[in-house]
Amino acid sequence: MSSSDSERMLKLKSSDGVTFDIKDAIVVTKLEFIKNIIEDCCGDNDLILVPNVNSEILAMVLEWCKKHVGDDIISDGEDDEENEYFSRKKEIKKWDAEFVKNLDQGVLYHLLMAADYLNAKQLLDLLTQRVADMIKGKKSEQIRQIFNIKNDFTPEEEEAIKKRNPWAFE
Amino acid sequence: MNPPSLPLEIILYNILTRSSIEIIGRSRVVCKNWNQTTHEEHFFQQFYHNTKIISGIFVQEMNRNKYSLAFVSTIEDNPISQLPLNFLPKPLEIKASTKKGLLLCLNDRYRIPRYLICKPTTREWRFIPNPKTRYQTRAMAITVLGSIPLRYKILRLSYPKLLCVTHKFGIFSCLQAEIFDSRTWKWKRLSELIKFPHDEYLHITMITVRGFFYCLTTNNNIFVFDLENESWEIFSLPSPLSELDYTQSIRQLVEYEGGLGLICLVNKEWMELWMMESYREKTWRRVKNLNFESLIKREGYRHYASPMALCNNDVMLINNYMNIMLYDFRNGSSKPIKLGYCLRGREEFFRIESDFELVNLNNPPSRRASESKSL
Repeated sequence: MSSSDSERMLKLKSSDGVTFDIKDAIVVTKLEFIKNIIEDCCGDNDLILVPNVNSEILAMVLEWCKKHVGDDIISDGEDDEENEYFSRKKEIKKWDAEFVKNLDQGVLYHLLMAADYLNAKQLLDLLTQRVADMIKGKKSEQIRQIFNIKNDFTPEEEEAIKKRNPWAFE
Repeated sequence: MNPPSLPLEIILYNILTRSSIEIIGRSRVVCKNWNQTTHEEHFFQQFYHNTKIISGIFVQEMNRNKYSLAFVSTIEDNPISQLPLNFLPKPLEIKASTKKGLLLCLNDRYRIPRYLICKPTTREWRFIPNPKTRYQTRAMAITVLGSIPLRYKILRLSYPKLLCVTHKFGIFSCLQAEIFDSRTWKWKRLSELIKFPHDEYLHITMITVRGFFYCLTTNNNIFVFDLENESWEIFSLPSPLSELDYTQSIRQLVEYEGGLGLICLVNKEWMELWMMESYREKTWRRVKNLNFESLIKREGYRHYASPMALCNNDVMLINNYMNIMLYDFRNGSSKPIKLGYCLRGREEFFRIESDFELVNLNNPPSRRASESKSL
Protein backbone atom coordinates (compact mmCIF):
# COMPACT_ATOMS: atom_id res chain seq x y z
CA MET A 1 0.00 0.00 0.00
CA SER A 2 1.42 3.37 -0.98
CA SER A 3 1.57 6.23 1.50
CA SER A 4 -1.10 8.20 -0.27
CA ASP A 5 -3.74 5.53 0.54
CA SER A 6 -4.31 6.83 4.05
CA GLU A 7 -5.34 10.18 2.62
CA ARG A 8 -7.57 8.60 0.02
CA MET A 9 -11.02 10.12 -0.28
CA LEU A 10 -14.01 7.84 -0.48
CA LYS A 11 -17.49 8.55 -1.75
CA LEU A 12 -20.34 6.86 0.13
CA LYS A 13 -23.76 6.93 -1.50
CA SER A 14 -26.83 6.48 0.70
CA SER A 15 -30.05 4.71 -0.24
CA ASP A 16 -31.67 8.01 -1.14
CA GLY A 17 -28.87 9.00 -3.49
CA VAL A 18 -26.88 11.45 -1.37
CA THR A 19 -23.12 11.22 -1.73
CA PHE A 20 -20.77 11.80 1.21
CA ASP A 21 -17.09 12.56 0.71
CA ILE A 22 -15.04 11.17 3.52
CA LYS A 23 -11.42 10.35 4.20
CA ASP A 24 -10.69 6.64 4.03
CA ALA A 25 -8.86 6.73 7.36
CA ILE A 26 -11.92 7.91 9.24
CA VAL A 27 -14.22 5.07 8.29
CA VAL A 28 -12.02 2.14 7.49
CA THR A 29 -11.22 1.16 11.10
CA LYS A 30 -14.74 1.69 12.39
CA LEU A 31 -16.90 0.27 9.63
CA GLU A 32 -15.88 -3.31 8.76
CA PHE A 33 -18.27 -3.25 5.83
CA ILE A 34 -16.28 -0.47 4.16
CA LYS A 35 -12.96 -2.05 5.07
CA ASN A 36 -13.98 -5.32 3.42
CA ILE A 37 -15.14 -3.61 0.25
CA ILE A 38 -11.90 -1.67 -0.07
CA GLU A 39 -9.82 -4.79 0.50
CA ASP A 40 -11.80 -6.85 -2.00
CA CYS A 41 -11.98 -4.34 -4.81
CA CYS A 42 -8.60 -3.03 -5.63
CA GLY A 43 -9.85 -0.91 -8.48
CA ASP A 44 -9.90 2.87 -8.64
CA ASN A 45 -13.62 2.99 -8.16
CA ASP A 46 -14.02 4.93 -4.95
CA LEU A 47 -17.80 5.17 -4.94
CA ILE A 48 -19.25 2.81 -2.37
CA LEU A 49 -22.97 2.15 -2.36
CA VAL A 50 -24.68 1.87 1.00
CA PRO A 51 -28.16 0.85 -0.12
CA ASN A 52 -29.60 0.01 3.30
CA VAL A 53 -28.90 3.31 4.96
CA ASN A 54 -30.52 6.66 4.19
CA SER A 55 -28.69 9.99 4.19
CA GLU A 56 -29.91 11.22 7.59
CA ILE A 57 -28.66 8.08 9.32
CA LEU A 58 -25.48 7.79 7.28
CA ALA A 59 -24.62 11.35 8.19
CA MET A 60 -24.94 10.47 11.89
CA VAL A 61 -22.81 7.35 11.49
CA LEU A 62 -20.08 9.37 9.81
CA GLU A 63 -20.30 12.03 12.52
CA TRP A 64 -19.74 9.30 15.13
CA CYS A 65 -16.80 7.90 13.14
CA LYS A 66 -15.17 11.34 12.91
CA LYS A 67 -15.38 11.77 16.66
CA HIS A 68 -13.89 8.34 17.29
CA VAL A 69 -10.93 8.49 14.90
CA GLY A 70 -7.87 7.08 16.62
CA ASP A 71 -9.64 6.63 19.95
CA ASP A 72 -7.85 3.37 20.61
CA ILE A 73 -4.36 4.66 20.00
CA ILE A 74 -2.22 5.35 23.03
CA SER A 75 0.92 7.12 22.00
CA ASP A 76 3.88 5.19 23.32
CA GLY A 77 6.33 7.00 25.48
CA GLU A 78 5.69 10.13 27.43
CA ASP A 79 3.44 10.30 30.46
CA ASP A 80 1.92 13.47 29.11
CA GLU A 81 0.62 11.67 26.08
CA GLU A 82 -0.91 8.95 28.22
CA ASN A 83 -2.71 11.49 30.36
CA GLU A 84 -3.96 13.12 27.20
CA TYR A 85 -5.22 9.72 26.03
CA PHE A 86 -7.24 9.18 29.19
CA SER A 87 -8.72 12.66 29.25
CA ARG A 88 -9.56 12.34 25.58
CA LYS A 89 -11.21 9.00 26.26
CA LYS A 90 -13.28 10.59 29.00
CA GLU A 91 -14.35 13.39 26.68
CA ILE A 92 -15.35 10.94 23.95
CA LYS A 93 -17.41 8.97 26.46
CA LYS A 94 -19.25 12.13 27.42
CA TRP A 95 -19.85 12.94 23.76
CA ASP A 96 -21.22 9.45 23.19
CA ALA A 97 -23.66 9.88 26.07
CA GLU A 98 -24.94 13.10 24.55
CA PHE A 99 -25.08 11.48 21.12
CA VAL A 100 -27.51 8.78 22.26
CA LYS A 101 -29.39 10.74 24.89
CA ASN A 102 -31.94 12.58 22.85
CA LEU A 103 -32.38 10.13 20.02
CA ASP A 104 -35.94 9.52 18.94
CA GLN A 105 -36.78 5.79 19.11
CA GLY A 106 -37.16 5.52 15.34
CA VAL A 107 -33.81 7.19 14.68
CA LEU A 108 -32.17 5.04 17.34
CA TYR A 109 -33.44 1.84 15.75
CA HIS A 110 -32.46 2.93 12.24
CA LEU A 111 -28.99 3.84 13.53
CA LEU A 112 -28.75 0.47 15.24
CA MET A 113 -29.61 -1.39 12.08
CA ALA A 114 -27.16 0.72 10.10
CA ALA A 115 -24.42 -0.03 12.62
CA ASP A 116 -25.22 -3.71 12.26
CA TYR A 117 -25.25 -3.57 8.44
CA LEU A 118 -22.01 -1.59 8.31
CA ASN A 119 -20.52 -3.95 10.90
CA ALA A 120 -19.53 -1.11 13.21
CA LYS A 121 -19.04 -3.08 16.43
CA GLN A 122 -18.18 -0.18 18.70
CA LEU A 123 -21.14 1.90 17.56
CA LEU A 124 -23.43 -1.14 17.83
CA ASP A 125 -22.30 -1.75 21.44
CA LEU A 126 -23.06 1.87 22.30
CA LEU A 127 -26.53 1.79 20.75
CA THR A 128 -27.58 -1.62 22.07
CA GLN A 129 -26.49 -0.59 25.57
CA ARG A 130 -28.71 2.47 25.15
CA VAL A 131 -31.72 0.31 24.27
CA ALA A 132 -30.94 -2.05 27.17
CA ASP A 133 -30.94 0.98 29.49
CA MET A 134 -34.28 2.04 28.07
CA ILE A 135 -35.97 -1.25 28.92
CA LYS A 136 -34.69 -1.25 32.50
CA GLY A 137 -37.53 -1.73 34.90
CA LYS A 138 -40.10 -2.28 32.17
CA LYS A 139 -42.81 -4.92 32.43
CA SER A 140 -43.22 -7.79 29.95
CA GLU A 141 -46.10 -6.18 28.06
CA GLN A 142 -44.12 -2.97 27.66
CA ILE A 143 -41.13 -4.94 26.38
CA ARG A 144 -43.43 -6.60 23.85
CA GLN A 145 -44.65 -3.22 22.65
CA ILE A 146 -41.20 -1.67 22.44
CA PHE A 147 -39.97 -4.44 20.17
CA ASN A 148 -43.29 -5.10 18.46
CA ILE A 149 -43.41 -8.80 19.36
CA LYS A 150 -46.54 -10.89 19.13
CA ASN A 151 -47.44 -12.91 22.22
CA ASP A 152 -47.92 -16.56 21.23
CA PHE A 153 -48.53 -17.89 24.75
CA THR A 154 -51.91 -18.89 26.11
CA PRO A 155 -52.76 -17.20 29.43
CA GLU A 156 -52.12 -20.53 31.21
CA GLU A 157 -48.71 -20.95 29.63
CA GLU A 158 -47.83 -17.39 30.56
CA GLU A 159 -48.85 -18.00 34.18
CA ALA A 160 -46.77 -21.16 34.35
CA ILE A 161 -43.65 -19.31 33.20
CA LYS A 162 -44.26 -16.43 35.60
CA LYS A 163 -44.38 -18.98 38.42
CA ARG A 164 -41.00 -20.34 37.38
CA ASN A 165 -39.33 -16.96 37.43
CA PRO A 166 -41.07 -15.37 40.43
CA TRP A 167 -38.18 -13.05 41.29
CA ALA A 168 -38.69 -11.30 37.94
CA PHE A 169 -42.35 -10.60 38.59
CA GLU A 170 -42.44 -9.34 42.18
CA MET B 1 -39.50 8.29 11.77
CA ASN B 2 -41.52 5.22 12.60
CA PRO B 3 -39.46 2.75 14.60
CA PRO B 4 -38.68 -0.28 12.44
CA SER B 5 -38.76 -3.79 13.88
CA LEU B 6 -35.29 -4.70 15.07
CA PRO B 7 -33.96 -8.07 13.93
CA LEU B 8 -34.56 -10.75 16.59
CA GLU B 9 -30.88 -11.67 16.68
CA ILE B 10 -29.97 -8.17 17.77
CA ILE B 11 -32.70 -7.96 20.39
CA LEU B 12 -31.82 -11.31 21.92
CA TYR B 13 -28.04 -11.44 21.67
CA ASN B 14 -27.08 -7.76 21.79
CA ILE B 15 -29.77 -6.01 23.83
CA LEU B 16 -31.14 -8.59 26.28
CA THR B 17 -27.63 -9.78 27.07
CA ARG B 18 -26.90 -6.26 28.34
CA SER B 19 -29.93 -6.26 30.64
CA SER B 20 -30.38 -7.44 34.18
CA ILE B 21 -31.44 -10.93 35.24
CA GLU B 22 -34.88 -9.51 36.14
CA ILE B 23 -35.47 -8.22 32.62
CA ILE B 24 -34.33 -11.56 31.22
CA GLY B 25 -36.86 -13.27 33.50
CA ARG B 26 -39.61 -10.95 32.26
CA SER B 27 -38.61 -11.43 28.68
CA ARG B 28 -39.35 -15.15 29.03
CA VAL B 29 -43.09 -14.49 28.83
CA VAL B 30 -42.81 -12.21 25.80
CA CYS B 31 -43.02 -15.09 23.34
CA LYS B 32 -42.02 -18.75 22.95
CA ASN B 33 -38.87 -18.03 20.95
CA TRP B 34 -37.56 -15.65 23.62
CA ASN B 35 -38.34 -18.18 26.36
CA GLN B 36 -36.33 -20.85 24.63
CA THR B 37 -33.37 -18.66 23.68
CA THR B 38 -32.91 -17.23 27.17
CA HIS B 39 -32.26 -20.74 28.50
CA GLU B 40 -29.52 -21.58 26.05
CA GLU B 41 -25.75 -21.63 26.58
CA HIS B 42 -25.09 -19.35 23.60
CA PHE B 43 -27.25 -16.68 25.17
CA PHE B 44 -25.58 -17.03 28.57
CA GLN B 45 -22.08 -16.83 27.11
CA GLN B 46 -22.97 -13.44 25.60
CA PHE B 47 -24.69 -12.37 28.81
CA TYR B 48 -21.69 -13.20 30.99
CA HIS B 49 -19.45 -11.47 28.47
CA ASN B 50 -21.51 -8.26 28.56
CA THR B 51 -22.49 -8.04 32.22
CA LYS B 52 -20.56 -8.03 35.42
CA ILE B 53 -21.77 -11.27 36.95
CA ILE B 54 -19.97 -14.01 38.73
CA SER B 55 -21.07 -17.63 38.46
CA GLY B 56 -19.20 -20.47 40.06
CA ILE B 57 -18.82 -23.03 42.81
CA PHE B 58 -17.34 -22.98 46.28
CA VAL B 59 -15.62 -26.28 46.94
CA GLN B 60 -15.37 -27.03 50.65
CA GLU B 61 -13.42 -29.82 52.22
CA MET B 62 -13.01 -30.79 55.85
CA ASN B 63 -9.40 -31.58 56.60
CA ARG B 64 -8.26 -32.35 60.17
CA ASN B 65 -11.18 -30.52 61.73
CA LYS B 66 -10.68 -27.42 59.61
CA TYR B 67 -12.56 -26.40 56.51
CA SER B 68 -10.71 -25.33 53.41
CA LEU B 69 -12.46 -23.39 50.70
CA ALA B 70 -11.78 -22.77 47.06
CA PHE B 71 -13.82 -20.85 44.53
CA VAL B 72 -13.92 -21.74 40.86
CA SER B 73 -15.72 -19.83 38.18
CA THR B 74 -17.87 -21.73 35.71
CA ILE B 75 -17.88 -18.92 33.17
CA GLU B 76 -15.40 -19.33 30.38
CA ASP B 77 -12.73 -16.63 30.16
CA ASN B 78 -14.23 -14.73 33.04
CA PRO B 79 -11.90 -11.97 34.24
CA ILE B 80 -13.48 -12.32 37.68
CA SER B 81 -12.21 -15.67 38.86
CA GLN B 82 -11.66 -14.97 42.55
CA LEU B 83 -14.23 -14.51 45.24
CA PRO B 84 -12.32 -14.10 48.47
CA LEU B 85 -14.06 -14.54 51.80
CA ASN B 86 -11.21 -13.09 53.86
CA PHE B 87 -13.41 -10.23 55.05
CA LEU B 88 -15.41 -12.70 57.15
CA PRO B 89 -14.46 -13.83 60.68
CA LYS B 90 -12.61 -17.13 60.77
CA PRO B 91 -12.84 -20.08 61.02
CA LEU B 92 -15.57 -20.34 58.45
CA GLU B 93 -17.82 -23.10 57.19
CA ILE B 94 -20.26 -22.57 54.33
CA LYS B 95 -23.70 -24.01 55.05
CA ALA B 96 -25.72 -22.98 52.02
CA SER B 97 -25.64 -20.75 48.95
CA THR B 98 -28.11 -19.14 46.55
CA LYS B 99 -28.23 -18.06 42.93
CA LYS B 100 -28.97 -14.55 44.14
CA GLY B 101 -25.51 -14.00 45.53
CA LEU B 102 -26.01 -14.87 49.20
CA LEU B 103 -24.00 -17.29 51.29
CA LEU B 104 -24.97 -18.73 54.69
CA CYS B 105 -21.96 -19.50 56.83
CA LEU B 106 -21.03 -20.68 60.29
CA ASN B 107 -18.32 -18.95 62.28
CA ASP B 108 -16.83 -21.57 64.53
CA ARG B 109 -14.58 -19.46 66.68
CA TYR B 110 -16.17 -19.70 70.10
CA ARG B 111 -17.82 -22.44 72.08
CA ILE B 112 -21.16 -21.55 70.59
CA PRO B 113 -20.75 -21.10 66.85
CA ARG B 114 -22.56 -18.21 65.18
CA TYR B 115 -24.38 -18.11 61.88
CA LEU B 116 -23.91 -15.29 59.43
CA ILE B 117 -25.22 -14.21 56.08
CA CYS B 118 -23.06 -12.53 53.45
CA LYS B 119 -22.82 -11.38 49.85
CA PRO B 120 -19.24 -12.13 48.75
CA THR B 121 -19.23 -9.81 45.72
CA THR B 122 -20.06 -6.70 47.76
CA ARG B 123 -18.41 -7.91 50.97
CA GLU B 124 -21.57 -7.20 52.94
CA TRP B 125 -22.20 -9.48 55.90
CA ARG B 126 -24.09 -9.77 59.13
CA PHE B 127 -24.53 -12.20 62.02
CA ILE B 128 -28.00 -13.69 62.30
CA PRO B 129 -29.61 -15.05 65.46
CA ASN B 130 -28.78 -18.69 66.18
CA PRO B 131 -31.19 -21.60 65.89
CA LYS B 132 -31.23 -24.29 68.57
CA THR B 133 -27.60 -25.24 68.11
CA ARG B 134 -27.57 -27.95 70.77
CA TYR B 135 -29.29 -30.18 68.21
CA GLN B 136 -27.16 -31.49 65.40
CA THR B 137 -27.79 -30.06 61.94
CA ARG B 138 -28.87 -32.50 59.27
CA ALA B 139 -29.26 -30.02 56.41
CA MET B 140 -29.58 -26.33 55.74
CA ALA B 141 -30.78 -24.32 52.79
CA ILE B 142 -31.54 -20.70 52.02
CA THR B 143 -33.86 -19.10 49.52
CA VAL B 144 -34.32 -15.49 48.47
CA LEU B 145 -38.00 -14.57 48.33
CA GLY B 146 -37.67 -10.95 47.31
CA SER B 147 -34.95 -8.50 46.39
CA ILE B 148 -36.42 -5.05 46.98
CA PRO B 149 -36.30 -5.04 49.93
CA LEU B 150 -34.20 -8.14 50.41
CA ARG B 151 -36.12 -10.97 52.02
CA TYR B 152 -34.85 -14.49 52.56
CA LYS B 153 -35.76 -17.56 54.54
CA ILE B 154 -33.49 -20.27 55.88
CA LEU B 155 -34.52 -23.85 56.55
CA ARG B 156 -32.67 -25.93 59.09
CA LEU B 157 -33.35 -29.61 59.58
CA SER B 158 -31.88 -31.08 62.73
CA TYR B 159 -32.01 -34.31 64.73
CA PRO B 160 -34.42 -33.90 67.64
CA LYS B 161 -33.92 -35.38 71.11
CA LEU B 162 -36.08 -38.36 70.19
CA LEU B 163 -34.67 -39.77 66.98
CA CYS B 164 -37.50 -42.25 66.56
CA VAL B 165 -41.12 -42.10 67.55
CA THR B 166 -43.80 -44.69 67.59
CA HIS B 167 -46.76 -43.24 65.85
CA LYS B 168 -50.11 -44.82 64.97
CA PHE B 169 -48.82 -46.97 62.15
CA GLY B 170 -45.30 -47.87 63.14
CA ILE B 171 -41.88 -46.55 63.92
CA PHE B 172 -40.73 -43.36 62.30
CA SER B 173 -37.46 -41.52 62.23
CA CYS B 174 -37.75 -37.79 62.74
CA LEU B 175 -36.25 -34.49 61.85
CA GLN B 176 -37.01 -31.14 63.34
CA ALA B 177 -37.54 -28.13 61.10
CA GLU B 178 -36.69 -24.55 61.99
CA ILE B 179 -37.28 -21.58 59.73
CA PHE B 180 -35.56 -18.23 59.85
CA ASP B 181 -37.37 -15.28 58.25
CA SER B 182 -35.26 -12.20 57.56
CA ARG B 183 -38.37 -10.07 57.86
CA THR B 184 -39.11 -11.03 61.47
CA TRP B 185 -35.44 -11.67 62.23
CA LYS B 186 -36.45 -14.73 64.24
CA TRP B 187 -36.20 -18.49 64.06
CA LYS B 188 -39.42 -20.42 64.29
CA ARG B 189 -39.63 -24.10 65.10
CA LEU B 190 -42.25 -26.17 63.36
CA SER B 191 -44.41 -27.64 66.13
CA GLU B 192 -44.72 -31.02 64.45
CA LEU B 193 -41.72 -33.18 63.73
CA ILE B 194 -41.06 -34.36 60.19
CA LYS B 195 -41.60 -38.10 60.21
CA PHE B 196 -40.12 -40.64 57.85
CA PRO B 197 -40.88 -44.35 57.75
CA HIS B 198 -38.11 -45.94 59.80
CA ASP B 199 -36.15 -47.26 56.85
CA GLU B 200 -36.33 -44.09 54.80
CA TYR B 201 -33.76 -41.31 55.00
CA LEU B 202 -32.96 -38.16 53.12
CA HIS B 203 -30.17 -38.09 50.57
CA ILE B 204 -27.27 -35.76 51.13
CA THR B 205 -28.06 -33.07 48.57
CA MET B 206 -31.00 -30.73 48.82
CA ILE B 207 -31.83 -28.44 45.95
CA THR B 208 -33.67 -25.18 45.99
CA VAL B 209 -36.13 -24.30 43.27
CA ARG B 210 -37.75 -20.92 43.91
CA GLY B 211 -39.16 -21.15 47.46
CA PHE B 212 -39.13 -24.95 47.64
CA PHE B 213 -36.50 -27.33 48.94
CA TYR B 214 -36.43 -30.76 47.38
CA CYS B 215 -34.54 -33.85 48.41
CA LEU B 216 -34.59 -37.44 47.22
CA THR B 217 -35.16 -40.09 49.86
CA THR B 218 -33.59 -43.52 50.07
CA ASN B 219 -36.91 -45.00 48.95
CA ASN B 220 -36.83 -42.86 45.81
CA ASN B 221 -39.59 -40.60 47.00
CA ILE B 222 -39.27 -36.83 47.07
CA PHE B 223 -39.30 -34.76 50.20
CA VAL B 224 -40.35 -31.16 49.65
CA PHE B 225 -40.43 -28.26 52.07
CA ASP B 226 -42.51 -25.25 51.05
CA LEU B 227 -40.79 -22.28 52.62
CA GLU B 228 -43.52 -19.72 51.99
CA ASN B 229 -46.27 -21.80 53.55
CA GLU B 230 -43.89 -23.50 56.01
CA SER B 231 -45.24 -26.96 55.28
CA TRP B 232 -43.72 -30.20 54.02
CA GLU B 233 -44.69 -33.41 52.31
CA ILE B 234 -43.22 -36.59 50.95
CA PHE B 235 -44.57 -37.66 47.61
CA SER B 236 -43.85 -40.60 45.39
CA LEU B 237 -42.93 -40.44 41.76
CA PRO B 238 -45.60 -41.48 39.27
CA SER B 239 -45.33 -44.31 36.80
CA PRO B 240 -43.02 -45.07 34.99
CA LEU B 241 -40.53 -43.36 37.30
CA SER B 242 -41.75 -45.45 40.22
CA GLU B 243 -41.31 -48.72 38.39
CA LEU B 244 -38.40 -51.08 38.83
CA ASP B 245 -36.45 -49.94 35.76
CA TYR B 246 -36.32 -46.42 37.02
CA THR B 247 -36.05 -46.84 40.76
CA GLN B 248 -32.62 -48.30 40.43
CA SER B 249 -31.48 -45.67 38.04
CA ILE B 250 -32.52 -42.36 39.55
CA ARG B 251 -29.58 -40.16 40.06
CA GLN B 252 -30.17 -36.51 40.73
CA LEU B 253 -32.70 -33.76 41.27
CA VAL B 254 -31.88 -30.60 39.36
CA GLU B 255 -33.37 -27.23 38.58
CA TYR B 256 -34.61 -27.10 35.00
CA GLU B 257 -36.06 -23.90 33.49
CA GLY B 258 -37.10 -22.73 36.93
CA GLY B 259 -38.86 -25.96 37.81
CA LEU B 260 -37.96 -29.32 39.36
CA GLY B 261 -36.11 -31.73 37.12
CA LEU B 262 -34.98 -35.29 37.59
CA ILE B 263 -32.10 -36.96 35.82
CA CYS B 264 -32.23 -40.74 35.44
CA LEU B 265 -29.43 -42.89 34.24
CA VAL B 266 -30.99 -45.23 31.70
CA ASN B 267 -27.96 -47.06 30.38
CA LYS B 268 -24.25 -46.38 30.16
CA GLU B 269 -24.60 -43.78 27.45
CA TRP B 270 -27.93 -42.08 28.04
CA MET B 271 -29.62 -40.18 30.77
CA GLU B 272 -33.21 -39.03 30.69
CA LEU B 273 -34.28 -35.61 31.87
CA TRP B 274 -37.76 -35.44 33.37
CA MET B 275 -39.54 -32.34 34.58
CA MET B 276 -42.32 -31.91 37.12
CA GLU B 277 -44.91 -29.94 35.22
CA SER B 278 -47.37 -29.26 37.98
CA TYR B 279 -46.51 -29.00 41.66
CA ARG B 280 -50.11 -29.40 42.70
CA GLU B 281 -50.84 -32.48 40.63
CA LYS B 282 -47.31 -33.91 40.74
CA THR B 283 -47.36 -34.72 37.05
CA TRP B 284 -44.10 -35.34 35.23
CA ARG B 285 -43.06 -35.26 31.61
CA ARG B 286 -39.94 -36.58 29.96
CA VAL B 287 -38.17 -33.64 28.40
CA LYS B 288 -35.29 -35.14 26.52
CA ASN B 289 -32.49 -37.67 26.44
CA LEU B 290 -29.02 -36.56 27.35
CA ASN B 291 -26.31 -38.23 25.38
CA PHE B 292 -23.03 -38.98 27.11
CA GLU B 293 -21.40 -41.01 24.40
CA SER B 294 -18.59 -38.55 23.71
CA LEU B 295 -17.85 -38.19 27.38
CA ILE B 296 -17.46 -41.95 27.81
CA LYS B 297 -15.33 -42.32 24.71
CA ARG B 298 -13.03 -39.62 25.94
CA GLU B 299 -12.90 -40.10 29.69
CA GLY B 300 -13.35 -43.82 30.09
CA TYR B 301 -14.30 -44.04 33.76
CA ARG B 302 -17.93 -43.31 33.08
CA HIS B 303 -19.41 -45.18 36.01
CA TYR B 304 -18.09 -42.64 38.43
CA ALA B 305 -19.52 -39.62 36.71
CA SER B 306 -22.57 -38.22 38.40
CA PRO B 307 -24.60 -35.21 37.33
CA MET B 308 -24.49 -32.31 39.76
CA ALA B 309 -26.63 -29.62 38.17
CA LEU B 310 -27.86 -28.15 34.93
CA CYS B 311 -26.26 -24.79 34.22
CA ASN B 312 -28.78 -24.14 31.45
CA ASN B 313 -30.52 -26.15 28.73
CA ASP B 314 -27.30 -27.05 26.98
CA VAL B 315 -24.67 -27.46 29.67
CA MET B 316 -24.45 -29.78 32.67
CA LEU B 317 -22.10 -29.81 35.62
CA ILE B 318 -20.69 -33.28 36.23
CA ASN B 319 -18.72 -34.71 39.12
CA ASN B 320 -16.30 -36.96 37.29
CA TYR B 321 -14.75 -38.49 40.41
CA MET B 322 -11.43 -36.69 40.23
CA ASN B 323 -12.63 -33.39 38.90
CA ILE B 324 -15.73 -31.41 38.00
CA MET B 325 -16.50 -30.64 34.44
CA LEU B 326 -18.89 -28.74 32.24
CA TYR B 327 -20.46 -30.97 29.61
CA ASP B 328 -22.07 -29.38 26.56
CA PHE B 329 -24.81 -31.52 24.97
CA ARG B 330 -24.83 -29.57 21.74
CA ASN B 331 -21.50 -30.95 20.59
CA GLY B 332 -20.47 -33.46 23.25
CA SER B 333 -17.54 -31.34 24.38
CA SER B 334 -16.42 -31.35 27.98
CA LYS B 335 -14.29 -28.90 29.87
CA PRO B 336 -12.76 -29.65 33.25
CA ILE B 337 -13.02 -26.90 35.82
CA LYS B 338 -9.55 -26.02 37.00
CA LEU B 339 -9.40 -26.73 40.70
CA GLY B 340 -5.69 -27.16 40.98
CA TYR B 341 -6.01 -30.49 42.75
CA CYS B 342 -7.85 -33.80 42.47
CA LEU B 343 -11.10 -34.28 44.29
CA ARG B 344 -10.94 -36.69 47.22
CA GLY B 345 -14.62 -37.51 47.39
CA ARG B 346 -15.17 -35.65 50.69
CA GLU B 347 -16.01 -32.29 49.18
CA GLU B 348 -19.18 -30.25 49.43
CA PHE B 349 -20.16 -28.02 46.54
CA PHE B 350 -22.01 -24.72 46.81
CA ARG B 351 -23.10 -23.07 43.60
CA ILE B 352 -23.35 -19.32 43.58
CA GLU B 353 -24.35 -16.71 41.05
CA SER B 354 -24.16 -13.03 41.86
CA ASP B 355 -24.21 -9.50 40.52
CA PHE B 356 -22.30 -6.68 42.17
CA GLU B 357 -25.24 -4.67 43.47
CA LEU B 358 -25.44 -3.79 47.15
CA VAL B 359 -28.25 -5.55 48.99
CA ASN B 360 -28.38 -3.86 52.37
CA LEU B 361 -28.31 -6.75 54.80
CA ASN B 362 -29.01 -4.40 57.68
CA ASN B 363 -32.72 -4.34 57.10
CA PRO B 364 -34.38 -4.88 59.56
CA PRO B 365 -31.91 -3.25 61.94
CA SER B 366 -31.11 -5.42 64.93
CA ARG B 367 -32.79 -4.67 68.21
CA ARG B 368 -29.73 -5.44 70.25
CA ALA B 369 -26.86 -3.08 69.51
CA SER B 370 -24.34 -5.85 70.18
CA GLU B 371 -25.69 -8.14 67.45
CA SER B 372 -23.93 -6.66 64.45
CA LYS B 373 -20.60 -6.11 66.12
CA SER B 374 -18.14 -8.95 65.87
CA LEU B 375 -17.54 -11.07 68.92
